[in-house]
Amino acid sequence: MAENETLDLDHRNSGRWRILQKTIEGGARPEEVAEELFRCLITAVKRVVERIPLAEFLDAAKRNDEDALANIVRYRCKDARDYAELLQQAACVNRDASSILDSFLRAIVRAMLRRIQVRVDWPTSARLRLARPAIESLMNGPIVALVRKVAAHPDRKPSLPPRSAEQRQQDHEKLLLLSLRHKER
Amino acid sequence: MPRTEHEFAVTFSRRGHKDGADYLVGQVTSDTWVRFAEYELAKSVFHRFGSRVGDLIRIALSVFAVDRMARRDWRRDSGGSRVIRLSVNVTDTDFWRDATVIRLLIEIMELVGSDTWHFEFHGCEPEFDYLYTDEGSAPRVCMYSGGLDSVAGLARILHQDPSPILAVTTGHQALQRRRVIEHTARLSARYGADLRPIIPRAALVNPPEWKRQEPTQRCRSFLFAAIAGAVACAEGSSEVMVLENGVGAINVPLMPGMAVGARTTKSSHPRFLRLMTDILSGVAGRRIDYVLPHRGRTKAELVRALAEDGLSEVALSSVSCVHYPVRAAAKQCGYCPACIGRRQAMLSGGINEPNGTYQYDLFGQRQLVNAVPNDKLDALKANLLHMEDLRELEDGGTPDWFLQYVLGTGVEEHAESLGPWADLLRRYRNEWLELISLGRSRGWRWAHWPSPCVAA
Repeated sequence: MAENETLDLDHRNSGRWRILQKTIEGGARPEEVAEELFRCLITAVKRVVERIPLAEFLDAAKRNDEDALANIVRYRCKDARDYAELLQQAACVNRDASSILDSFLRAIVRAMLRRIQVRVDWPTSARLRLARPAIESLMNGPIVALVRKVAAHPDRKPSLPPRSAEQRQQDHEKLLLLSLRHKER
Repeated sequence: MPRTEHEFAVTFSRRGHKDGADYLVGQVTSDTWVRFAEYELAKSVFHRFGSRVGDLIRIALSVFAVDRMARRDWRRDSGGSRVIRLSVNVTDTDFWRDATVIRLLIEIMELVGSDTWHFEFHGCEPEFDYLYTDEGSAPRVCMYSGGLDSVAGLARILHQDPSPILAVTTGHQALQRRRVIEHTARLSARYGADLRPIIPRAALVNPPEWKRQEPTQRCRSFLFAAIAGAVACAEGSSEVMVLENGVGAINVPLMPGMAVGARTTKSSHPRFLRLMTDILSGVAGRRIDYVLPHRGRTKAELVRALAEDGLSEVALSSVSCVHYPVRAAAKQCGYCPACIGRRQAMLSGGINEPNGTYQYDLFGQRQLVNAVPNDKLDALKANLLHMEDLRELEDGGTPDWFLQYVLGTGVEEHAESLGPWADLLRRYRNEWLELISLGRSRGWRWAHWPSPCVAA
């Protein structure tokens, strides 16, 4: 659709989000969806930490320095402007690092689940809507922990939860398959 | 990977054309020019432009051209953001090099296009010596696109007060000129108003082939607003009316998080209008406001008023589609977000559109509606899910996503001012709920999708 945009399922770096979509389409339980969703979120945060000077950003937000925030988004972000603007919106209604990050991460979750709801067929979409409260509830603890970790070390990339070799191989194959399909499109 | 950087230096001159008229022509690259039919302004606005107004037109034309020439690289930057360095020749370098003015320009571009712009201004001699007197008669000025909001919004204004209005359209679309002239003639006749269309055309000459141009064209709103602002400057008017309905003006994203990046239009966004007010007031040396007279109304409410005034035919001849014209049939697509919004407003506002108006009919005869392929349903589905979000505004609630969007994009500066926007969105949601009920009674398949949560 014309106004489908940023934090986009179609972006070449969104492979993990597309795996999440497949997981949902496959009828996964809320626990499985939440686990995959958390992995997506960590990948997104890694991307943000790589591209946005997060420590400076959070410091400027704490000082309520709107000019500094705007200049960071304008001149200091290497790319990922979509994430930077979402972060900036979160900083408009929050001041301390933890609240901003919490709000930011929940906005990403909300945005991407909604994109998936639009993308999948209506029965799956309706099923996801019913499962959302459970998924969001399951995400609470991990999000709070991730926020704490990133707020303490905003320049350090968080690591993905450990996976078995077999799970890693499955992930790798799924990503490869999606990448090939993406290229075909 | 750094964002894509583009650099342009646009130099302007005035050139005669084979039709005998003068055009303002800016050289954008060695092969491509931007051409503006300034004689259309000259013959319509019988007053002198100040040199700064001329500069504003040049800058806006440069932005319009560069915005189309500089392609976004979505693979490099997931927000599609660009870095653009633009140099333009202007007559009043002291004014345009002022840090406050440059900052305003940067903020405007950032808001509408999510890009980082660097402006550089070089001096040139004033050329705007062809217009006549110094003082205008201060009629009202509005921006007019030929879309449904323009027609319905202007009718509403004239219904209340038929005093003279200049309707300014920066022509950029096929059949637009004819449509605008037809609309304004009908509205003039209906309300007995002195309604004068001004339709200067802006176009790229010898542009790159379409697939090498940037399709989003978010920054063109700056040109449209600047040209209307130039008319207000010349005519001594104190405001420029933007005829968008309130829901469209704030453009709450159909999907959360959509309002970031470059694919969401902010052409009537209240913050854009505030920034334009600041820059135009600086240019004019007096206060000129861009105002949203219909900020408290939904599109359907505007359409209803139009129907009550017997102007349904004018509404039917307006165009909203982002894909228009669809092939040679000159139809609207029927499934893009703009078509969905239009159809909801027309049905809720009491105007029935004839069969065959749209390539895909999502709101008509049951057989046609239910035959629309699944891949054309994304925008409709996003709208239905959006109604689920808007439900959170019921009972005076202000959910985080709403607060973040409205304050974060600068629709309002204080949380205390959100009430009227929430009321407006609640009415808008109710219109959709009624439409869903109607769809169920008519057997539209999609009307049975929404969850009880939406349709309650």
